[in-house]
Amino acid sequence: MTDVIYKVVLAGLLLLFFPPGMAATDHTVETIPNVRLTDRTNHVSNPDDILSENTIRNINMYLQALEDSTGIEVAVVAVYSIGDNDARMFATDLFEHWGIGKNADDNGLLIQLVTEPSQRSVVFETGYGLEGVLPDAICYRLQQRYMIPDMKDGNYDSGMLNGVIAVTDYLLSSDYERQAITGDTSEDDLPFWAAFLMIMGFPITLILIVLLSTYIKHRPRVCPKCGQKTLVFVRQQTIQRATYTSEGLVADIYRCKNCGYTEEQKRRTSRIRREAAGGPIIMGGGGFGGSRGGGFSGGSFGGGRSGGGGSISRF
Amino acid sequence: MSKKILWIAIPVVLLIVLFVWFKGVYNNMVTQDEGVKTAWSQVENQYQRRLDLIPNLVNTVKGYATHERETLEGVVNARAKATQTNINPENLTEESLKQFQATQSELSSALSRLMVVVERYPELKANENFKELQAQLEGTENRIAVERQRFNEVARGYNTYIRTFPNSILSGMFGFFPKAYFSAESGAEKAPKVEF
Repeated sequence: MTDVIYKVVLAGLLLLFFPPGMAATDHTVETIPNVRLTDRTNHVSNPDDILSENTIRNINMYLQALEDSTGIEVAVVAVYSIGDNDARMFATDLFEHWGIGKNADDNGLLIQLVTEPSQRSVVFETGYGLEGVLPDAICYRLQQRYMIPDMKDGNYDSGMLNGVIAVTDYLLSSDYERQAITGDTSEDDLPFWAAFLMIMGFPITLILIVLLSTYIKHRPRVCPKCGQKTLVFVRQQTIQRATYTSEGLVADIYRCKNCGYTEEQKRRTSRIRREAAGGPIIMGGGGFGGSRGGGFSGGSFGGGRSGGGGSISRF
Repeated sequence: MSKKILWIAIPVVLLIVLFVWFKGVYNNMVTQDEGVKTAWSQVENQYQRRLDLIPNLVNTVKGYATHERETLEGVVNARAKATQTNINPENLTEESLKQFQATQSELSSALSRLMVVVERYPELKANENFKELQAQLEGTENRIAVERQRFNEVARGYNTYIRTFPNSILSGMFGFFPKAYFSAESGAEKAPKVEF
């Protein structure tokens, strides 16, 4: 009997000190490890092992490529719990704490995933310098389109990877391609025929002109001898070749199919132009500017600031 | 002879020391004053961003929530009032800031009333355009919170500087007055908890 009571009390004490669901600690801005300090090619802080090794490797590949070509610094954070903090404000604070993005450009982006059921959310936090390229509505759209469907199913790995790929693609794309990424079909889009005309208008006009001029040349004309409409273009004869210094002379020969009457029309052809002369063009000047300072050395973020831009998607 | 030189040298040295001190403190005050003004303009920018979002939001909601004229008018009126209340950054006094904050928080509560009403219209809530506007509004609210906090930090630095001795002597002489802070959320600014 006392044994049972003892066990119940013990269980109660255990529950008191280790309530279920507390396996991972509530993170604060200070306790989330800034992995970049030890390895500056690592963009993913994953203290609660929410993302797999493989996913992290893939994410780093994309984000490093993005950073190398644009200088944009992206940090990914996946944690279980941030306590009672507001996820949006937490992201702003963490951004500020780490200083993501280059100091002069404020071109940082923080992607934060919290998986605790009551706080489950994805937050994009953009630096001042990225607010223009990545407005809140676009952040929201990318989250909804690429991350939330997988994350809703608990598939954090593919959700996060898809999100990172979408963001990287978006930042590296031209305006035209961006519309496809965000699925933007705004009403002011041109109707198909107008877009077709805009792109194809010039070549079509050219082709029409060529067709028209060949028709004029080849259409049967009235023969001055027999009066039938049978005088057609036969061939072109070069009488004198054009050179660099003088014009050439050619004759267009027309023959009547009815009576055999032939007619020559001489015309001059323009001189041959020399190709623009010039020495060989020397390409180069590439150099080895962008060394990354050793493969595994650490380094902090550039000290960028955020003004609280971005968006949150709860799921 | 040497006494005479001393009588000239001492005031000259004193004057130089005084000048250097004056210059340092005065320039510092000007720099910090400008810093406060910059921080203020950031705050104003974000509030303006919110004002700019509202017409779009109201129009979108209007299309779906046809029975909520009162709530919508509340937002439009509060916006009009907030548009009129501007502060000259030279005049960041307690009073003017309080007034500014009052009109803005009136708008905040009108907006949150609207967001509660919206819950009744599932079609509106599913509308892509509306969802994005909502995301933008949320982002703007967050920006406002951030810039307010930064303004307070900068203003606190400035106030501390001009009010500590001996700087306080100079600040009084040259008309550097303490700046007002944003007070903590009065409850109206916070999003209302929806209870069922």
